[in-house]
Amino acid sequence: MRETIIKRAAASLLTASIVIALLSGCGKSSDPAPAASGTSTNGASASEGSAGGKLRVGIITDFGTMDPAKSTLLIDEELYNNIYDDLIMTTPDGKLVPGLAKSWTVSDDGLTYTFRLEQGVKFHDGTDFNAQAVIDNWNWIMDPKNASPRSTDLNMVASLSTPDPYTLVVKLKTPFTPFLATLSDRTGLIVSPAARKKYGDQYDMHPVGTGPFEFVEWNKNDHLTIKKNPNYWRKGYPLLDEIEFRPIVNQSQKLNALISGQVDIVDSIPFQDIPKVESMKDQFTMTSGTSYGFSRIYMNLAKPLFQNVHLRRAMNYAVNRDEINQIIYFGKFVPGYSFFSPASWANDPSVKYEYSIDKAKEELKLAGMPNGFSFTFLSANDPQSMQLSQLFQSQFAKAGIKMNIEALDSSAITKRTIDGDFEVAGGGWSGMVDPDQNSYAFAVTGAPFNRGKYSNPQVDKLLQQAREMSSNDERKKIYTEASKIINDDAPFVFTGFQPVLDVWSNKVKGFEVYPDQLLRFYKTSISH
Amino acid sequence: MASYIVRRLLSFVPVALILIVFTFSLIHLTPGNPAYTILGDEASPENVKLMEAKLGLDQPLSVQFLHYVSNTMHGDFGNSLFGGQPVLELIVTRIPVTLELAVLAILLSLCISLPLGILSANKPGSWIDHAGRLLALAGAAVPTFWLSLILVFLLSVTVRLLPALGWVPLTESVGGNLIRMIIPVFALALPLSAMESRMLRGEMLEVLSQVYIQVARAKGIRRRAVLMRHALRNAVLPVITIIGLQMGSLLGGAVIVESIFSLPGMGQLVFNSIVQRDYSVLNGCVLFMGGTILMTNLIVDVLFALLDPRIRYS
Repeated sequence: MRETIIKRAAASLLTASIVIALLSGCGKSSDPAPAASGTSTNGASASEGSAGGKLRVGIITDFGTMDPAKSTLLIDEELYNNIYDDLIMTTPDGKLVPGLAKSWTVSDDGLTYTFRLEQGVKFHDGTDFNAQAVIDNWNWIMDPKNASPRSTDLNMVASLSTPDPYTLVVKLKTPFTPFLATLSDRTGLIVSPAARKKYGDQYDMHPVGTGPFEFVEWNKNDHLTIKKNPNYWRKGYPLLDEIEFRPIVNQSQKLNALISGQVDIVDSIPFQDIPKVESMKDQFTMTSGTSYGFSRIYMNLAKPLFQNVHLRRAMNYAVNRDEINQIIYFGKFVPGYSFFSPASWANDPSVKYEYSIDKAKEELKLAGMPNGFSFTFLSANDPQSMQLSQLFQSQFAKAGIKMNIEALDSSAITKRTIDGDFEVAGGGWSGMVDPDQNSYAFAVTGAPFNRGKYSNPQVDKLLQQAREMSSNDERKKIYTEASKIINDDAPFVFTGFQPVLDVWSNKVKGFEVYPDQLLRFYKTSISH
Repeated sequence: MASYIVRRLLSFVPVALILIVFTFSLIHLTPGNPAYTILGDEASPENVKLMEAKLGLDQPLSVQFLHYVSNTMHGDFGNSLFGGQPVLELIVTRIPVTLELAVLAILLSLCISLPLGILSANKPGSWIDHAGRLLALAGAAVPTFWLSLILVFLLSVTVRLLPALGWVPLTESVGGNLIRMIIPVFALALPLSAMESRMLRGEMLEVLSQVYIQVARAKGIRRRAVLMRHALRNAVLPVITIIGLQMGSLLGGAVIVESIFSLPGMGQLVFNSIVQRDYSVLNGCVLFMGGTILMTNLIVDVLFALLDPRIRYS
């Protein structure tokens, strides 16, 4: 009797784990990362429908927190741009444009940033938005007792001051060009200081911003509702009355929910559903933009085996990126060889590794291992990651390299890689608007995401230089140079850039897709 | 009877303790920890340390455990590691959804299994008996998640008859609620009715072969009356036992069904707390579900005594 209960429980757990695997199969495990945020330019052309109505959004998993200063999940950001405003916004083509900051100037030495802020903007609770509000927000983030994951964004701030209520002067310790891009991300989202004070630890459940929509209610795992902010400072927006976000954790249900009409738009779909959506163009629109994020596997250079550069190059030659694109991503992936996606101005297509088994074998000879070698790869245990790992396995095998797969849950992988307890691991990064945000922390000696312990003083110097230059053309040259050195050293096998797959009903108008994968609904409308 | 119930209630305490130890160790034995889950791939070692300290995960396991046990014993289930809501509140708001799901599934399974079981037993080897056998086989063999998705494909995507997912509270719209429950309830009820109908058939056949039934027949009582009044009453006991025993798999099935249909019930809460490693919520849920299963079995035992006067509890 008891035995059957236990057996049943085990069976239930097993099935649950399959469902969990399905849930995490869509990007969660490969890119639980922040992404730049902002809203599109006022000049962008969006076909606008009639105002009013309710939009229902299917999201990949429930939100974690409503507080940008505590957030680390990409999913949170899908909501943030609708209830908060960023100081600086981004456009779908990656430009920085005014948000709550009307204009800004940067001193010649790159140390002083002066922001002029929008006047007459109010938070949803009726309090005024001004320079002091920004300072209050940032002081909270910088206060160590709050353990805000965002504090690193403000590490280089030396001082903050307000010559007048609508001017903010930021002095940095060192020149840091990506600082502006940082302000188009979570750190640039300004919450009401009064509300933070009033609700304290419970602020999570009572978010107050200046954004186009106001928070209504959050019934965890069921829905989160926001409604039109009638006093939004951008005249004429938003168009919708109400938006309801509904987590759909079972990914195969996303398309079903769209087809049967429970949701109007979803933030992603499993790649295997792409052909089906494409056959329903009369009802649905699917975009497949390229995100700022990259995917790669990285070797642990602290292990003697991987200190041999020829062996690492062999791995790079052996991976067939086109095959990965066709088999795993149904052709929606952009094969790539660096940190810099085609969505970014820093992308340089001349940085490349050819696919060549012969060259891989040659490098293995040079490495002194003509018969190949074997290693263990840490793979996330969701179906898509497993499928990708098995593909790597078969591709390496062609060059005589034997790859063993150790499947783990993604948080276990994070721990193992931080502890240096691995040979090769993989993963992605959902990407941000500035190339520095997608490279520095992954490649510079001792940087937080450089878990394979890659170290090349030349690369360190170049990536530091790129941080201090103001011209993007100059920066691009540096990034290309650094990418070439990195590919010579081959501490990573870059595979490419993830697609952004939003799908929506043709009733939805004026929705724009951004390479940072976020949802911005202030210009969106729906016809019934 | 009363003392029996009290003793049974007291026996919950050690079982609850075992449950607590079990869930606590289960979570702590799996690699990774909530700090890494909260921080995701962004986790930098400094932030992980800060976060672990904030969550009290830097304390020795024994301290964490004692702390946890004493809180639980005081009825304090703590707060969610993620949203900060009190665990008890999260659980309480979700009970109605799962309760409705479970009650409807049990009712539906009885509606299917009672007639099927009786008719199969009445004419063993008839077409209806074969149909029942087929249903039992299917019910036992088909995984809930597969059945759910197939039904959605047929009824929501192909015919567009029923919603594919979602939830409307009964208080808001009874029709809207029930129409969304059809597929999930059916998916949960099918395996249950499979077990029940076969169980009932077997029991009925055994009872029908007994002497007192032959006596009743010889007295000229109509076949239907013999079946329904004399045989069914004795044959239905094991079916009630099955429902009690199935409570565990029903709640397990609810986890799957609720996550597929985005129903905001206990199952979905369990599922999410597993995915997010929200220790406090998961522990609260397991305790609660464990308690539910124990209570169900207690109720079944009491029902037994009421249905069958021969059963005496000393």
